[in-house]
Amino acid sequence: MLYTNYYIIDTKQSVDINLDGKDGIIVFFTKTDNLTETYQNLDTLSNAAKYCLLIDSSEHIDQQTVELIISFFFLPGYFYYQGSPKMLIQGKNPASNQNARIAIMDEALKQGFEKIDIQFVNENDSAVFCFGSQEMQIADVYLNLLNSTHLSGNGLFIQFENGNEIAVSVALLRATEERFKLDNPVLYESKRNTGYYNEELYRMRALLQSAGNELDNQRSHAAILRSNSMASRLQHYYNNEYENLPVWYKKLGQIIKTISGKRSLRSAFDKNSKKYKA
Amino acid sequence: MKSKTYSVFFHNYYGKDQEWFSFFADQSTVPFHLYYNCVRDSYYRLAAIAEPPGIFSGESFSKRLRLSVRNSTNLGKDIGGKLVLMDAYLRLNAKTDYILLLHDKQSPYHHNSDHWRKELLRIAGNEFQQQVFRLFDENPQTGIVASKSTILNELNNDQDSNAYINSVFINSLKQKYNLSPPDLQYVAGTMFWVRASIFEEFFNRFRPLDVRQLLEKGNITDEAGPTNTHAWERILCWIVSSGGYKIKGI
Repeated sequence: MLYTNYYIIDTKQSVDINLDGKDGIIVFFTKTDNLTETYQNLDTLSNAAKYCLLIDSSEHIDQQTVELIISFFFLPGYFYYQGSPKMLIQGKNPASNQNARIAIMDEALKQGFEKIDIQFVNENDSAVFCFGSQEMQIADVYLNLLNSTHLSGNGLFIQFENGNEIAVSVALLRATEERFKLDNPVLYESKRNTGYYNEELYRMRALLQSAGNELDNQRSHAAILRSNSMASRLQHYYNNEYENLPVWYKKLGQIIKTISGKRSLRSAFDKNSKKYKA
Repeated sequence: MKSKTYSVFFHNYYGKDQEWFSFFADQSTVPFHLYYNCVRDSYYRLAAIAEPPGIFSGESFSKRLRLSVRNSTNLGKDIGGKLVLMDAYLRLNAKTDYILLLHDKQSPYHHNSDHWRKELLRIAGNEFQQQVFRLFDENPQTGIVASKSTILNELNNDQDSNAYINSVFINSLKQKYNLSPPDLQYVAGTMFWVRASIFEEFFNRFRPLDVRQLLEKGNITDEAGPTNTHAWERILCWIVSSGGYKIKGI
Protein backbone atom coordinates (compact mmCIF):
# COMPACT_ATOMS: atom_id res chain seq x y z
CA MET A 1 0.00 0.00 0.00
CA LEU A 2 1.04 3.61 -0.48
CA TYR A 3 0.95 4.36 3.24
CA THR A 4 1.75 2.40 6.38
CA ASN A 5 -1.59 1.78 8.06
CA TYR A 6 -1.88 0.76 11.69
CA TYR A 7 -4.54 -1.67 12.97
CA ILE A 8 -5.05 -1.30 16.69
CA ILE A 9 -6.39 -4.22 18.73
CA ASP A 10 -6.54 -5.04 22.39
CA THR A 11 -4.03 -7.76 23.30
CA LYS A 12 -6.67 -9.68 25.22
CA GLN A 13 -7.53 -10.97 21.78
CA SER A 14 -5.37 -13.55 20.07
CA VAL A 15 -2.12 -12.06 18.83
CA ASP A 16 -1.86 -14.64 16.08
CA ILE A 17 -3.33 -12.45 13.34
CA ASN A 18 -1.92 -13.29 9.95
CA LEU A 19 -1.30 -10.00 8.24
CA ASP A 20 1.46 -9.40 5.73
CA GLY A 21 3.68 -6.50 6.79
CA LYS A 22 3.02 -4.88 3.39
CA ASP A 23 -0.67 -4.50 4.32
CA GLY A 24 0.13 -2.60 7.47
CA ILE A 25 1.16 -2.93 11.07
CA ILE A 26 -0.73 -4.59 13.90
CA VAL A 27 -0.73 -2.38 16.98
CA PHE A 28 -1.15 -4.16 20.27
CA PHE A 29 -2.91 -1.84 22.68
CA THR A 30 -1.58 -3.24 25.91
CA LYS A 31 -2.29 -2.62 29.55
CA THR A 32 1.02 -2.48 31.37
CA ASP A 33 0.10 -5.42 33.61
CA ASN A 34 -0.56 -7.46 30.47
CA LEU A 35 2.78 -6.76 28.81
CA THR A 36 4.56 -9.92 29.98
CA GLU A 37 1.81 -12.16 28.65
CA THR A 38 1.84 -10.29 25.33
CA TYR A 39 5.62 -10.69 25.09
CA GLN A 40 5.34 -14.42 25.72
CA ASN A 41 2.62 -14.83 23.09
CA LEU A 42 4.60 -12.88 20.51
CA ASP A 43 7.61 -15.15 21.00
CA THR A 44 5.67 -17.98 19.41
CA LEU A 45 4.27 -15.89 16.55
CA SER A 46 5.48 -17.60 13.40
CA ASN A 47 3.90 -15.58 10.60
CA ALA A 48 5.32 -12.59 8.75
CA ALA A 49 3.16 -10.04 10.59
CA LYS A 50 4.79 -6.84 11.78
CA TYR A 51 3.58 -5.26 14.98
CA CYS A 52 4.26 -2.53 17.50
CA LEU A 53 2.98 -1.46 20.90
CA LEU A 54 0.51 1.20 21.98
CA ILE A 55 0.37 2.14 25.64
CA ASP A 56 -1.77 4.59 27.57
CA SER A 57 0.37 7.12 29.41
CA SER A 58 -2.25 7.56 32.13
CA GLU A 59 -1.25 4.13 33.44
CA HIS A 60 1.57 3.80 35.94
CA ILE A 61 4.71 3.32 33.84
CA ASP A 62 7.56 2.38 36.15
CA GLN A 63 11.14 1.44 35.37
CA GLN A 64 10.33 -2.28 35.13
CA THR A 65 7.60 -1.54 32.56
CA VAL A 66 9.98 0.58 30.50
CA GLU A 67 12.60 -2.21 30.55
CA LEU A 68 9.99 -4.71 29.42
CA ILE A 69 8.96 -2.43 26.54
CA ILE A 70 12.61 -2.33 25.41
CA SER A 71 12.65 -6.16 25.37
CA PHE A 72 9.82 -6.02 22.79
CA PHE A 73 12.09 -4.04 20.45
CA PHE A 74 14.34 -7.10 20.13
CA LEU A 75 11.50 -9.35 18.92
CA PRO A 76 11.94 -10.26 15.23
CA GLY A 77 8.42 -9.17 14.22
CA TYR A 78 8.64 -5.80 15.94
CA PHE A 79 8.13 -2.98 13.44
CA TYR A 80 11.03 -0.64 12.72
CA TYR A 81 10.43 2.48 10.69
CA GLN A 82 13.65 3.37 8.87
CA GLY A 83 15.82 1.60 11.41
CA SER A 84 14.02 2.80 14.54
CA PRO A 85 11.52 0.83 16.61
CA LYS A 86 8.02 2.30 16.31
CA MET A 87 6.05 2.95 19.48
CA LEU A 88 2.65 4.58 19.95
CA ILE A 89 1.49 6.43 23.04
CA GLN A 90 -1.97 7.75 23.78
CA GLY A 91 -3.24 9.76 26.71
CA LYS A 92 -5.09 12.95 27.44
CA ASN A 93 -2.36 14.48 29.56
CA PRO A 94 0.48 15.89 27.40
CA ALA A 95 2.90 15.89 30.35
CA SER A 96 2.30 12.18 31.00
CA ASN A 97 2.77 11.47 27.29
CA GLN A 98 6.09 13.30 27.30
CA ASN A 99 7.26 11.59 30.48
CA ALA A 100 6.50 8.17 29.03
CA ARG A 101 8.27 9.12 25.81
CA ILE A 102 11.39 10.35 27.58
CA ALA A 103 11.57 7.30 29.87
CA ILE A 104 11.35 4.90 26.90
CA MET A 105 13.81 6.92 24.79
CA ASP A 106 16.38 7.08 27.61
CA GLU A 107 16.24 3.37 28.26
CA ALA A 108 16.41 2.54 24.55
CA LEU A 109 19.48 4.74 24.02
CA LYS A 110 21.25 2.82 26.79
CA GLN A 111 20.59 -0.38 24.85
CA GLY A 112 22.36 0.95 21.75
CA PHE A 113 19.36 2.28 19.80
CA GLU A 114 20.12 5.57 18.11
CA LYS A 115 16.51 6.66 17.90
CA ILE A 116 13.01 5.48 18.74
CA ASP A 117 10.11 6.48 16.53
CA ILE A 118 7.55 7.40 19.19
CA GLN A 119 4.25 8.82 18.01
CA PHE A 120 1.33 10.16 20.00
CA VAL A 121 -2.06 9.05 18.75
CA ASN A 122 -5.31 10.74 19.48
CA GLU A 123 -8.63 9.09 18.72
CA ASN A 124 -10.19 12.53 18.19
CA ASP A 125 -7.86 13.24 15.26
CA SER A 126 -10.41 12.48 12.56
CA ALA A 127 -7.87 13.09 9.78
CA VAL A 128 -6.09 9.82 10.52
CA PHE A 129 -7.98 8.00 13.28
CA CYS A 130 -10.93 5.68 12.55
CA PHE A 131 -12.84 2.84 14.13
CA GLY A 132 -12.99 -0.53 12.38
CA SER A 133 -16.76 -0.67 12.49
CA GLN A 134 -17.16 2.58 10.49
CA GLU A 135 -16.36 1.32 7.00
CA MET A 136 -17.63 4.35 5.10
CA GLN A 137 -15.57 6.66 7.28
CA ILE A 138 -12.41 4.58 6.70
CA ALA A 139 -12.81 4.78 2.93
CA ASP A 140 -13.44 8.54 3.02
CA VAL A 141 -10.56 9.33 5.35
CA TYR A 142 -8.18 7.20 3.34
CA LEU A 143 -9.27 8.83 0.09
CA ASN A 144 -8.61 12.25 1.63
CA LEU A 145 -5.13 11.10 2.58
CA LEU A 146 -4.51 9.76 -0.92
CA ASN A 147 -5.54 13.10 -2.39
CA SER A 148 -3.38 15.05 0.05
CA THR A 149 0.14 16.39 -0.48
CA HIS A 150 1.37 13.85 2.06
CA LEU A 151 3.45 11.58 -0.21
CA SER A 152 4.39 8.56 1.92
CA GLY A 153 4.85 7.32 5.48
CA ASN A 154 2.13 6.93 8.08
CA GLY A 155 -1.40 6.22 6.95
CA LEU A 156 -4.45 5.60 9.09
CA PHE A 157 -4.77 4.41 12.67
CA ILE A 158 -7.80 2.14 12.84
CA GLN A 159 -9.02 0.76 16.14
CA PHE A 160 -10.86 -2.58 16.22
CA GLU A 161 -13.09 -4.27 18.74
CA ASN A 162 -12.42 -7.58 17.08
CA GLY A 163 -9.19 -8.62 15.33
CA ASN A 164 -11.16 -10.54 12.69
CA GLU A 165 -12.41 -7.23 11.30
CA ILE A 166 -8.88 -6.22 10.23
CA ALA A 167 -9.07 -8.27 7.01
CA VAL A 168 -12.26 -6.42 6.01
CA SER A 169 -10.60 -3.04 6.50
CA VAL A 170 -7.48 -4.10 4.61
CA ALA A 171 -9.66 -5.11 1.65
CA LEU A 172 -11.48 -1.79 1.87
CA LEU A 173 -8.26 0.21 1.92
CA ARG A 174 -6.94 -1.76 -1.04
CA ALA A 175 -10.15 -1.12 -3.00
CA THR A 176 -9.96 2.60 -2.16
CA GLU A 177 -6.39 2.69 -3.39
CA GLU A 178 -7.36 0.91 -6.62
CA ARG A 179 -10.09 3.48 -7.22
CA PHE A 180 -7.62 6.29 -6.60
CA LYS A 181 -5.16 4.67 -9.01
CA LEU A 182 -7.78 4.57 -11.80
CA ASP A 183 -8.81 8.19 -11.20
CA ASN A 184 -5.28 9.58 -10.68
CA PRO A 185 -2.76 7.28 -12.39
CA VAL A 186 0.10 9.81 -12.46
CA LEU A 187 -0.32 10.91 -8.86
CA TYR A 188 -0.60 7.27 -7.77
CA GLU A 189 2.63 6.39 -9.57
CA SER A 190 4.37 9.42 -8.08
CA LYS A 191 3.35 8.47 -4.54
CA ARG A 192 4.32 4.84 -5.10
CA ASN A 193 7.76 5.87 -6.37
CA THR A 194 8.25 8.24 -3.45
CA GLY A 195 7.62 5.44 -0.97
CA TYR A 196 9.86 3.04 -2.86
CA TYR A 197 12.79 5.46 -3.19
CA ASN A 198 12.48 6.54 0.43
CA GLU A 199 12.84 2.92 1.48
CA GLU A 200 15.72 2.32 -0.92
CA LEU A 201 17.45 5.46 0.29
CA TYR A 202 17.19 4.32 3.89
CA ARG A 203 18.38 0.81 2.98
CA MET A 204 21.41 2.09 1.10
CA ARG A 205 22.31 4.55 3.86
CA ALA A 206 22.14 1.76 6.45
CA LEU A 207 24.29 -0.48 4.25
CA LEU A 208 26.80 2.30 3.70
CA GLN A 209 27.05 2.97 7.41
CA SER A 210 27.48 -0.72 8.24
CA ALA A 211 30.14 -1.05 5.52
CA GLY A 212 31.95 1.95 7.03
CA ASN A 213 31.82 0.33 10.46
CA GLU A 214 33.14 -2.91 9.05
CA LEU A 215 35.96 -1.07 7.31
CA ASP A 216 36.91 0.48 10.65
CA ASN A 217 36.89 -2.99 12.21
CA GLN A 218 39.22 -4.31 9.52
CA ARG A 219 41.56 -1.36 9.99
CA SER A 220 41.64 -2.02 13.70
CA HIS A 221 42.38 -5.73 13.12
CA ALA A 222 45.16 -4.82 10.71
CA ALA A 223 46.66 -2.44 13.27
CA ILE A 224 46.69 -5.20 15.88
CA LEU A 225 48.35 -7.60 13.47
CA ARG A 226 50.94 -4.98 12.46
CA SER A 227 51.72 -4.25 16.10
CA ASN A 228 53.04 -7.82 16.45
CA SER A 229 51.29 -8.10 19.78
CA MET A 230 50.02 -11.56 18.84
CA ALA A 231 53.50 -12.71 17.83
CA SER A 232 54.95 -11.36 21.09
CA ARG A 233 52.27 -13.12 23.05
CA LEU A 234 52.97 -16.38 21.26
CA GLN A 235 56.72 -15.97 21.80
CA HIS A 236 56.14 -15.23 25.47
CA TYR A 237 54.00 -18.37 25.78
CA TYR A 238 56.64 -20.46 23.98
CA ASN A 239 59.48 -19.14 26.13
CA ASN A 240 57.68 -19.94 29.35
CA GLU A 241 56.19 -23.27 28.34
CA TYR A 242 59.04 -24.82 26.26
CA GLU A 243 62.16 -22.73 25.92
CA ASN A 244 63.09 -22.91 29.58
CA LEU A 245 62.92 -26.73 29.75
CA PRO A 246 66.30 -28.46 30.46
CA VAL A 247 68.39 -29.33 27.39
CA TRP A 248 68.42 -33.08 28.15
CA TYR A 249 64.61 -33.02 28.21
CA LYS A 250 64.46 -31.32 24.84
CA LYS A 251 66.95 -33.83 23.37
CA LEU A 252 64.90 -36.70 24.70
CA GLY A 253 61.90 -35.07 23.06
CA GLN A 254 63.74 -35.03 19.71
CA ILE A 255 64.42 -38.79 20.03
CA ILE A 256 60.74 -39.43 20.74
CA LYS A 257 59.75 -37.30 17.78
CA THR A 258 62.05 -39.30 15.52
CA ILE A 259 60.77 -42.65 16.82
CA SER A 260 57.16 -41.55 16.37
CA GLY A 261 57.89 -40.43 12.79
CA LYS A 262 57.40 -36.73 13.37
CA ARG A 263 61.05 -35.96 12.46
CA SER A 264 63.30 -37.65 9.92
CA LEU A 265 66.17 -39.73 11.33
CA ARG A 266 68.57 -38.37 8.71
CA SER A 267 68.07 -34.81 9.96
CA ALA A 268 69.60 -35.78 13.33
CA PHE A 269 72.96 -36.32 11.58
CA ASP A 270 72.72 -34.22 8.46
CA LYS A 271 71.95 -30.53 8.72
CA ASN A 272 71.15 -30.39 5.01
CA SER A 273 68.33 -32.90 5.20
CA LYS A 274 64.72 -31.98 5.65
CA LYS A 275 63.43 -32.22 9.22
CA TYR A 276 59.70 -32.43 8.65
CA LYS A 277 57.54 -33.77 5.87
CA ALA A 278 55.49 -30.63 5.31
CA MET B 1 15.38 -40.69 35.42
CA LYS B 2 13.99 -37.42 34.05
CA SER B 3 15.81 -36.48 30.85
CA LYS B 4 17.86 -33.30 30.99
CA THR B 5 16.72 -30.17 29.23
CA TYR B 6 18.88 -27.39 27.91
CA SER B 7 18.82 -24.08 26.09
CA VAL B 8 21.36 -22.77 23.62
CA PHE B 9 22.14 -19.05 23.54
CA PHE B 10 23.69 -18.30 20.16
CA HIS B 11 24.85 -14.86 19.09
CA ASN B 12 25.22 -14.25 15.36
CA TYR B 13 27.16 -11.35 13.87
CA TYR B 14 28.36 -12.77 10.57
CA GLY B 15 24.99 -13.96 9.18
CA LYS B 16 24.67 -17.29 7.29
CA ASP B 17 21.64 -18.22 9.36
CA GLN B 18 20.70 -21.25 7.29
CA GLU B 19 24.12 -22.79 7.82
CA TRP B 20 23.88 -22.26 11.54
CA PHE B 21 20.34 -23.66 11.73
CA SER B 22 21.57 -26.77 9.92
CA PHE B 23 24.49 -26.95 12.33
CA PHE B 24 22.18 -26.89 15.32
CA ALA B 25 19.63 -29.25 13.82
CA ASP B 26 22.44 -31.81 13.41
CA GLN B 27 24.00 -31.38 16.82
CA SER B 28 21.65 -32.94 19.28
CA THR B 29 19.41 -35.94 19.76
CA VAL B 30 17.79 -34.27 22.77
CA PRO B 31 15.09 -31.58 22.28
CA PHE B 32 16.32 -28.11 23.11
CA HIS B 33 15.34 -24.45 22.91
CA LEU B 34 17.56 -22.36 20.64
CA TYR B 35 17.71 -18.66 21.48
CA TYR B 36 19.23 -17.02 18.42
CA ASN B 37 20.34 -13.39 18.47
CA CYS B 38 21.16 -11.49 15.28
CA VAL B 39 22.95 -8.14 15.17
CA ARG B 40 20.44 -6.26 13.06
CA ASP B 41 22.83 -3.67 11.62
CA SER B 42 25.75 -5.99 10.98
CA TYR B 43 27.23 -5.43 7.52
CA TYR B 44 27.09 -9.20 6.89
CA ARG B 45 23.35 -9.20 7.55
CA LEU B 46 22.48 -6.03 5.62
CA ALA B 47 24.62 -6.96 2.64
CA ALA B 48 23.26 -10.50 2.36
CA ILE B 49 20.19 -11.08 0.24
CA ALA B 50 18.70 -13.59 2.59
CA GLU B 51 15.50 -14.38 4.42
CA PRO B 52 14.93 -12.12 7.38
CA PRO B 53 15.78 -14.01 10.56
CA GLY B 54 12.27 -13.58 11.92
CA ILE B 55 10.90 -15.93 9.30
CA PHE B 56 12.09 -18.89 11.35
CA SER B 57 10.77 -17.62 14.63
CA GLY B 58 8.49 -19.65 16.81
CA GLU B 59 8.10 -22.54 14.44
CA SER B 60 10.11 -25.70 14.96
CA PHE B 61 12.14 -26.24 11.84
CA SER B 62 13.21 -29.42 13.51
CA LYS B 63 11.03 -31.47 15.83
CA ARG B 64 13.83 -31.42 18.35
CA LEU B 65 14.21 -27.70 18.38
CA ARG B 66 12.17 -24.72 19.51
CA LEU B 67 13.42 -21.40 18.22
CA SER B 68 13.26 -17.89 19.66
CA VAL B 69 14.90 -15.22 17.53
CA ARG B 70 15.95 -11.80 18.74
CA ASN B 71 17.39 -8.88 16.75
CA SER B 72 19.68 -6.71 18.80
CA THR B 73 21.83 -3.64 18.50
CA ASN B 74 25.61 -4.11 18.38
CA LEU B 75 26.34 -3.46 22.04
CA GLY B 76 28.75 -5.58 24.05
CA LYS B 77 29.60 -7.90 21.16
CA ASP B 78 28.64 -11.53 21.84
CA ILE B 79 28.35 -10.87 25.58
CA GLY B 80 25.70 -8.21 24.90
CA GLY B 81 23.86 -10.59 22.57
CA LYS B 82 23.91 -13.37 25.15
CA LEU B 83 22.50 -10.93 27.72
CA VAL B 84 19.63 -10.10 25.34
CA LEU B 85 18.96 -13.84 25.13
CA MET B 86 19.16 -14.23 28.90
CA ASP B 87 16.58 -11.44 29.15
CA ALA B 88 14.32 -13.37 26.74
CA TYR B 89 14.87 -16.62 28.68
CA LEU B 90 13.79 -14.99 31.95
CA ARG B 91 10.84 -13.12 30.44
CA LEU B 92 9.55 -16.35 28.88
CA ASN B 93 9.79 -18.00 32.32
CA ALA B 94 11.93 -20.69 30.76
CA LYS B 95 13.31 -23.41 32.98
CA THR B 96 16.01 -25.74 31.75
CA ASP B 97 18.77 -27.69 33.46
CA TYR B 98 21.64 -26.25 31.45
CA ILE B 99 22.47 -23.39 29.15
CA LEU B 100 25.03 -23.58 26.35
CA LEU B 101 26.58 -20.24 25.38
CA LEU B 102 27.89 -19.99 21.81
CA HIS B 103 28.55 -17.46 19.06
CA ASP B 104 29.86 -17.34 15.50
CA LYS B 105 33.32 -16.38 16.64
CA GLN B 106 35.78 -14.97 14.15
CA SER B 107 38.89 -13.24 15.43
CA PRO B 108 40.82 -12.24 12.32
CA TYR B 109 43.44 -10.56 14.48
CA HIS B 110 44.29 -13.76 16.41
CA HIS B 111 47.15 -15.90 15.12
CA ASN B 112 45.25 -19.18 15.60
CA SER B 113 41.69 -18.01 15.05
CA ASP B 114 40.48 -21.11 13.14
CA HIS B 115 41.90 -23.60 15.62
CA TRP B 116 40.44 -21.60 18.50
CA ARG B 117 37.00 -21.50 16.89
CA LYS B 118 36.99 -25.29 16.37
CA GLU B 119 38.00 -25.86 19.98
CA LEU B 120 35.15 -23.66 21.15
CA LEU B 121 32.44 -25.03 18.88
CA ARG B 122 33.18 -28.70 19.53
CA ILE B 123 31.33 -28.36 22.84
CA ALA B 124 28.02 -28.23 20.94
CA GLY B 125 28.58 -31.69 19.47
CA ASN B 126 26.51 -34.69 20.44
CA GLU B 127 29.46 -36.68 21.82
CA PHE B 128 30.52 -33.77 23.97
CA GLN B 129 26.97 -33.39 25.30
CA GLN B 130 26.90 -36.87 26.80
CA GLN B 131 30.11 -36.14 28.68
CA VAL B 132 28.80 -32.77 29.81
CA PHE B 133 25.58 -34.20 31.23
CA ARG B 134 27.58 -36.91 33.03
CA LEU B 135 29.91 -34.34 34.58
CA PHE B 136 26.99 -32.23 35.80
CA ASP B 137 25.18 -35.35 37.10
CA GLU B 138 28.15 -36.82 38.89
CA ASN B 139 28.97 -33.69 40.82
CA PRO B 140 26.33 -31.13 41.83
CA GLN B 141 29.18 -28.65 42.36
CA THR B 142 30.07 -28.67 38.67
CA GLY B 143 28.94 -25.26 37.47
CA ILE B 144 30.58 -24.90 34.06
CA VAL B 145 31.85 -27.40 31.50
CA ALA B 146 34.00 -26.17 28.62
CA SER B 147 36.59 -27.27 26.13
CA LYS B 148 39.69 -27.89 28.26
CA SER B 149 42.08 -25.77 26.25
CA THR B 150 39.85 -22.72 26.55
CA ILE B 151 39.89 -22.63 30.34
CA LEU B 152 42.44 -20.01 31.32
CA ASN B 153 43.52 -18.34 34.50
CA GLU B 154 43.57 -14.57 34.43
CA LEU B 155 46.81 -14.64 36.47
CA ASN B 156 48.54 -16.05 33.40
CA ASN B 157 47.23 -13.34 31.13
CA ASP B 158 50.07 -10.90 30.68
CA GLN B 159 48.18 -9.02 27.99
CA ASP B 160 46.62 -6.42 30.17
CA SER B 161 48.90 -6.38 33.16
CA ASN B 162 46.53 -6.55 36.11
CA ALA B 163 43.49 -5.09 34.32
CA TYR B 164 41.23 -8.04 35.08
CA ILE B 165 43.08 -9.33 38.16
CA ASN B 166 43.04 -6.76 40.83
CA SER B 167 42.68 -3.31 39.29
CA VAL B 168 40.28 -0.69 40.62
CA PHE B 169 38.22 -1.35 37.50
CA ILE B 170 37.70 -5.07 38.06
CA ASN B 171 37.40 -4.74 41.84
CA SER B 172 34.56 -2.26 41.48
CA LEU B 173 32.70 -4.70 39.23
CA LYS B 174 33.29 -7.57 41.66
CA GLN B 175 32.03 -5.43 44.49
CA LYS B 176 28.98 -4.25 42.58
CA TYR B 177 27.89 -7.81 41.84
CA ASN B 178 29.03 -9.32 45.17
CA LEU B 179 31.56 -11.62 43.54
CA SER B 180 34.48 -13.22 45.36
CA PRO B 181 35.78 -16.04 43.18
CA PRO B 182 38.29 -18.38 44.86
CA ASP B 183 40.53 -18.15 41.79
CA LEU B 184 40.61 -16.28 38.48
CA GLN B 185 39.75 -19.17 36.17
CA TYR B 186 37.52 -18.34 33.24
CA VAL B 187 36.57 -19.70 29.83
CA ALA B 188 38.14 -17.59 27.10
CA GLY B 189 35.79 -17.07 24.16
CA THR B 190 32.68 -17.33 26.34
CA MET B 191 31.46 -20.63 24.93
CA PHE B 192 30.56 -23.11 27.64
CA TRP B 193 27.84 -25.11 29.35
CA VAL B 194 26.54 -23.72 32.60
CA ARG B 195 24.13 -25.01 35.19
CA ALA B 196 21.11 -22.83 34.35
CA SER B 197 19.94 -22.27 37.94
CA ILE B 198 23.13 -20.31 38.72
CA PHE B 199 22.53 -17.79 35.93
CA GLU B 200 18.78 -17.68 36.62
CA GLU B 201 19.41 -16.75 40.23
CA PHE B 202 22.04 -14.11 39.40
CA PHE B 203 20.21 -12.46 36.50
CA ASN B 204 16.95 -12.31 38.40
CA ARG B 205 18.82 -10.07 40.85
CA PHE B 206 20.84 -8.12 38.27
CA ARG B 207 18.68 -7.78 35.15
CA PRO B 208 20.58 -8.76 31.97
CA LEU B 209 19.70 -5.54 30.13
CA ASP B 210 20.90 -3.45 33.09
CA VAL B 211 24.25 -5.19 32.80
CA ARG B 212 24.24 -4.81 29.03
CA GLN B 213 23.75 -1.05 29.05
CA LEU B 214 27.22 -0.64 30.57
CA LEU B 215 28.96 -2.54 27.77
CA GLU B 216 30.73 -0.86 24.87
CA LYS B 217 29.26 -0.28 21.40
CA GLY B 218 30.63 -1.86 18.25
CA ASN B 219 33.33 -4.44 17.65
CA ILE B 220 35.72 -3.31 20.33
CA THR B 221 38.90 -5.11 21.40
CA ASP B 222 40.79 -4.76 24.66
CA GLU B 223 44.20 -4.39 23.03
CA ALA B 224 44.46 -0.79 24.20
CA GLY B 225 43.02 -1.31 27.66
CA PRO B 226 40.38 -3.18 29.65
CA THR B 227 36.74 -2.95 28.64
CA ASN B 228 33.51 -3.77 30.46
CA THR B 229 32.67 -6.21 27.68
CA HIS B 230 35.88 -8.19 28.14
CA ALA B 231 35.55 -7.96 31.92
CA TRP B 232 32.16 -9.68 31.58
CA GLU B 233 33.83 -12.49 29.65
CA ARG B 234 35.50 -13.24 33.00
CA ILE B 235 32.63 -12.27 35.26
CA LEU B 236 30.20 -14.73 33.67
CA CYS B 237 32.51 -17.48 34.95
CA TRP B 238 33.21 -15.82 38.28
CA ILE B 239 29.46 -15.67 38.99
CA VAL B 240 29.67 -19.45 38.93
CA SER B 241 32.89 -19.92 40.87
CA SER B 242 31.84 -17.36 43.49
CA GLY B 243 28.93 -19.67 44.31
CA GLY B 244 31.38 -22.48 45.10
CA TYR B 245 30.88 -24.24 41.78
CA LYS B 246 33.74 -25.66 39.71
CA ILE B 247 34.77 -25.15 36.11
CA LYS B 248 35.44 -28.49 34.43
CA GLY B 249 37.21 -29.08 31.12
CA ILE B 250 36.84 -31.86 28.57
